[in-house]
Amino acid sequence: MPKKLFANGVSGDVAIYEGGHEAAFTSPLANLDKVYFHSSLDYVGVAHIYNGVISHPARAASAESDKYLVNNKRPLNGTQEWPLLSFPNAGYVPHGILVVNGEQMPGAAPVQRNGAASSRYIMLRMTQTSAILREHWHTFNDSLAALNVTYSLYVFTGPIAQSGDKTLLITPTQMIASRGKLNTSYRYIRSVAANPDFRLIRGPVADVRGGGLRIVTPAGTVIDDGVYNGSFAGTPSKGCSI
Amino acid sequence: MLDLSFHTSPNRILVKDAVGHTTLDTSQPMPHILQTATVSLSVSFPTSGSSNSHQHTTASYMFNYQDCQMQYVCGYQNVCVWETRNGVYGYYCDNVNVCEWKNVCTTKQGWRNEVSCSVLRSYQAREWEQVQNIASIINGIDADFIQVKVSGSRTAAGTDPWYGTFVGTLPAGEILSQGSMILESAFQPGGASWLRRIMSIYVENGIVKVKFKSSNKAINGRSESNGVVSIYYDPPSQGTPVNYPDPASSVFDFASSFNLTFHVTIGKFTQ
Repeated sequence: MPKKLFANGVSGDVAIYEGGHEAAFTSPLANLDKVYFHSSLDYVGVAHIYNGVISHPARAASAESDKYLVNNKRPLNGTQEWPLLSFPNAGYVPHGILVVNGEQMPGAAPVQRNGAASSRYIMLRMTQTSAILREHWHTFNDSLAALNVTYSLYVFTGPIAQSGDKTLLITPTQMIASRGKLNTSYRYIRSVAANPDFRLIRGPVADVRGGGLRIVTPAGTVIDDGVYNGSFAGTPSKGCSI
Repeated sequence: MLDLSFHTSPNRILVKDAVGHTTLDTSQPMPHILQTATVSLSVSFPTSGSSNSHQHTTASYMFNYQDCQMQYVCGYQNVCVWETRNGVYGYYCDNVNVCEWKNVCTTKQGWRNEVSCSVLRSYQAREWEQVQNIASIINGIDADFIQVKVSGSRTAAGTDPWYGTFVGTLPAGEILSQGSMILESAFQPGGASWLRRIMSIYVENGIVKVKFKSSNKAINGRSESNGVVSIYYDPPSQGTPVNYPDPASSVFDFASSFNLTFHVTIGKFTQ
């Protein structure tokens, strides 16, 4: 069946769906296989973006001897935070994706290691008004050199309630539909086949086995800790752009 | 003439912003949110089985002692008496063979043996996982993606033989998990990883689930000396033996527990 574009001026809904399946217009969630676009769906937009480099300072090796260990040291550890973004309170804590030197790492992933285990872990903490990068580091016998890391952060919109007095508005550069649920002032995410800005996933990106850790990023990059002895191969993902 | 950036046809809606960036293009699959869920749950990672091996070493210390025994001893000796011999009263001594019971002592070497014990506890390798459900997806839809933030705290922390509490990285607040999240790590002397704990959030059969995994290598704790556990003498007559039971080594409990809240957005791409 040919695709059908239909707009309802009363509800403000705009949809492209498979012609002859009118239920796809009135009940899109129950007929997703017939829907190509429906403005009442909660499409994911990007509300805020951060691109930048954070200079992580050097961390000294531990100097504290362990009374039980002749040539090894007790670990030193600490944390430091950097605010990446501040934004108006959206009324909820938004989701986001953090890209670290071009890779999407799992939460609390190591981004630097020296020697057997002196390591620097990073994670992203979200609030209703900010996105905060947090470093957790620990050192044993080896220090951690200063490190510049390039971060990209995409903060997403959540489900948007209907609001305003316009059910449907179309201008040359903006489209508002379904009484504000769809608003192209947000940059909506689209699936792309190549050169994505980030990837959306539905499964694991890390595994443990034999006392070790393997990370397989959504882009397929494998990061082992030298101890892992399993066979984790990652999870398929969908590349996206804005 | 203004180049209009809103284009529509039965197959496509394309909107570009004032600087030409595409903000909506229905010709490419677009992710949308099916539902959100906030679910709290707990997980307890188990410890590993362990056993003790005892090593005994004996230190011996020599000493001299007097070995005395009652003996019936005969020998010539002068025996003097006042008496009359041949009509003459006097003090007469004779060398005669005399037999008698005597306490006879000799110097001998003895040994004090002190047995010391050291204990080495060995921990077994363990692979462990647990799956818990977070949310059922509406209409049983097979979601294409999930976005997850995690908040929570570690309510009990495992310890290791060298460095104490396992390294944990879960701070207060809502943290992006991005598919998986590393919860705990532990390291041997020098730093090689021997324990890792993670959680991964995934979609399976219309249900969002979390899988907790723990993996640790077999390790030996440090050898602990528990001093002298017994003393005995050779010969036994030279002292009362002392015996204490072999003590157990310190036991390091690898168990950790977390209370976690998952803030999940479940979504699908339109066609």
